[in-house]
Amino acid sequence: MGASPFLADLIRRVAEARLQTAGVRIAVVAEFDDLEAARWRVGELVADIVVLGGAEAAPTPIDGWPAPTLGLSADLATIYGPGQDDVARLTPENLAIRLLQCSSA
Amino acid sequence: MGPSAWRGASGVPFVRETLVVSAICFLRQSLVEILSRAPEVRVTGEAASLDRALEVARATHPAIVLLDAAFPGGTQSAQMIGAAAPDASLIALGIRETEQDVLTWAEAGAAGYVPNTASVDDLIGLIGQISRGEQTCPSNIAGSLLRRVAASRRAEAPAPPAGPPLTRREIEIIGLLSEGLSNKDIARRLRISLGTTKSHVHNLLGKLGLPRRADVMARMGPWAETAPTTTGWAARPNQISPPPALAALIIDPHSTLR
Repeated sequence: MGASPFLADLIRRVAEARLQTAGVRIAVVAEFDDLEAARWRVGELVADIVVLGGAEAAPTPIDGWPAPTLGLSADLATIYGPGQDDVARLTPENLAIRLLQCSSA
Repeated sequence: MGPSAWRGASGVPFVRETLVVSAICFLRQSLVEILSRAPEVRVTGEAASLDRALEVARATHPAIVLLDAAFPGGTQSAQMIGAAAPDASLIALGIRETEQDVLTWAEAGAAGYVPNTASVDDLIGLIGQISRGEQTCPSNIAGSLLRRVAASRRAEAPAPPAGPPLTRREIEIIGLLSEGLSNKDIARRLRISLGTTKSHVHNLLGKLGLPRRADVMARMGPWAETAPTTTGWAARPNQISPPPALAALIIDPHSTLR
C-alpha cells in the first residue's frame, strides 16, 4: 500500500480485537503497493485472505491465489466482498464481520 | 516506544487528552478505539469535519490534536485547528516522510508528525515523545529543518557583532551557553574534556570582551540563538510482526490505501 504499514497494522489491530472472541487470530503476512509484485509472490506466500485496495467493486480473486478477496475503496469509505454483491460502509465492525466470513469459508 | 505510561517531572504517570480528526470513518473509528485502550491517552473527542473539529477543540481544550494528513484542507485546516486550540500540540498523522512534506507541516504549526510507515505502537510512543517536545526523524529531514530555521533566523536577525573571528567550536559553544548549559554539560554534549571546554569558554569570553558567561546572550543578542548546536536524533526501531494465524495479504495496486 502507499502508506500501507500503518493501515495494515490498523486493520490487524481492530480486526484482532473482534476476531479473538471467535477464537481466530489474524496476522498481516505481506503488503504490496503493486499488484504485479504480489502476483510474483503467489507461490511463496500463504494467505487465507487477500485485501485489495483501490477497489471499485467486489474484486475477483488473484489468479493462482484461491483465497477469498475483500476490496477497499480508494477513499476507504466502502468495503466490497467477499461475495460479488456484498457492499458496505467500511468500519472496523464491518471489516471484522467480513474477515470472519472469509475465515470460516 | 513501549506501552508504559509516560511520567511527568514528579514521576507520576499522566495521560494526554487527545482529539482525533479524520474525515475517513474507518481511520477515525479505528484510532479512537485503539488509543482508548492505551493508558497514556484519553480520547476527548473525534471530528470528521473542520467545523466539528473547531467546535470540539474549543470545547475540550485537548493537549494533543491528532490530525489525519489527508484531512480536507490539509495544512490550512491544521492552522485553523491550531488557532482554535492554541495550547494543543498538533500531530500530523500519516504524512510522507519527505523533506518537503515535513517542512510544510512544520510551517503549518505541527508540533510533530507520525510518518505513514509507522506502526500503531509507534503512534502511541510518538504521541508521548511529541507531547514532550521530541520528534524522531531521519537525519536528512533534521538537517533540512535546521537549515530552514537558520535561514529564517538569519533573515530576521541582525548581523553578528563585529569583533575577533570566532572558531566553529566557539560558535557552537555560544549556542550551548544560550541554552544555559554548564561547562560540564557542554563538555558532555560536545564530547570533549571539561578542561578543553573551560579553555574554549575562557577564550570566547576574552574575544567577546565579556567578564561572565551570562553576558554572552546580552552581547550576542538574537544571533546567539541561531548558533548551531549538536542534536541527537533517535533511530526508529525495527518493527517485528507476530507469527501468522489467519494470514491476511493486503495489496493496493493504485497505492491509494493510506
